Amino acid sequence: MDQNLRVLFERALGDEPMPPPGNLAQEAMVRGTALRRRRGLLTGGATGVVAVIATMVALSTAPTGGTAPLVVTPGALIPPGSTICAAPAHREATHVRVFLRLEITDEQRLDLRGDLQSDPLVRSVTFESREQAYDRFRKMFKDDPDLIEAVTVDQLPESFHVKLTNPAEYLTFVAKFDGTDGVDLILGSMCPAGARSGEDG
Amino acid sequence: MTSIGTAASVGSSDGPQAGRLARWGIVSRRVRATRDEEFAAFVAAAAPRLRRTAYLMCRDWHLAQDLTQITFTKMYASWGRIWRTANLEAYSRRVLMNAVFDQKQRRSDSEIVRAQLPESPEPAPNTDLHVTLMTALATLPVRDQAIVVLRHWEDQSVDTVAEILGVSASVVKMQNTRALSRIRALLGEDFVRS
Repeated sequence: MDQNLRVLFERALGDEPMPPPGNLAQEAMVRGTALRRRRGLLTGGATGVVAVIATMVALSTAPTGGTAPLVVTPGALIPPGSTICAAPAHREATHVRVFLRLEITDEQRLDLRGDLQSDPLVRSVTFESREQAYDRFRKMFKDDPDLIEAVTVDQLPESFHVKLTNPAEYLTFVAKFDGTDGVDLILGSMCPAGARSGEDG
Repeated sequence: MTSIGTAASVGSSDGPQAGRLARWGIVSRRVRATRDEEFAAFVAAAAPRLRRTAYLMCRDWHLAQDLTQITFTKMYASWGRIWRTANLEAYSRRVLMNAVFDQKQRRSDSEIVRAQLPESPEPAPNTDLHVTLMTALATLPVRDQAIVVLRHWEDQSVDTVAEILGVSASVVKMQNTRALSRIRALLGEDFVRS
């Protein structure tokens, strides 16, 4: 029966036309990227908001200068943490922040947490809510009421704070989780052994 | 995620900080390039087979092409998550079959009155056996069609088919037996002879 079926299927496929011209992979990449954007409906809006924040942060910290380094990216505000940690890390990282898209679903968040917790690259995972991010944001910019005024809780992203088992595997970690549904941005920082990262509390 | 390129760094250590960020951007772009190259290689390798499987499910080459395109598009949207971890062969079948099920669902929603086989209600008695097979296949529930195609055209194991369709192995075995006996009944004597 199996053999017969296969032969018949082969015959049914006998009139296969040439595939249409065009680059299937290229088209899939363009449409796939658009699809991922659509899944994150609010990305465009959020980027605009954070671009404003970025400008404001730049303006507000430029004169004072000597504060801890701060990285501002669309959808993500990296706190200064401790100055002894290098952030963002490029090859090795001890601590990683996985910023979530504003529109992430509960299911995606649960899936991601499960994936992170069960990953051998990961030593520990903690979650930071928008409210916690906002609290930290307020503390970071307590001297800048205009900036705090301009930002609301729902403009700040949620994030997972991840400690890696092996800093050298940072890029493997990024390759694995970058592009996961609901993930906006992954940024690592490299802290010397024994140093508190400022990411713990 | 297009944010890397626009990331900005301000503060006391502009120089080294910016340099670090730039390097980080380069590494990240490199990872991305490798990722896309692997995607293109996967598409090149998987497309012909996927399109044929799609055709056996829908009996329309144009639609088969569309379903293949949809499959690759959906896979690319999740590529960052799956490229190093998932069993891509099985995963692509799963995405394809879901696209087929979606498409049939949409069609049956819009054509409530039509029977399963609008194009040929009565197969002509003297058609080739493979045409009869395709007609017989079309009378089966769509999930049974998927099981028959995956098992007997793609030669996938019971366990793989179970994984692709998200059901248990015993369900696959049971429905496969049911589908085959129905096909046998519809093909009748001719099939036994071939």
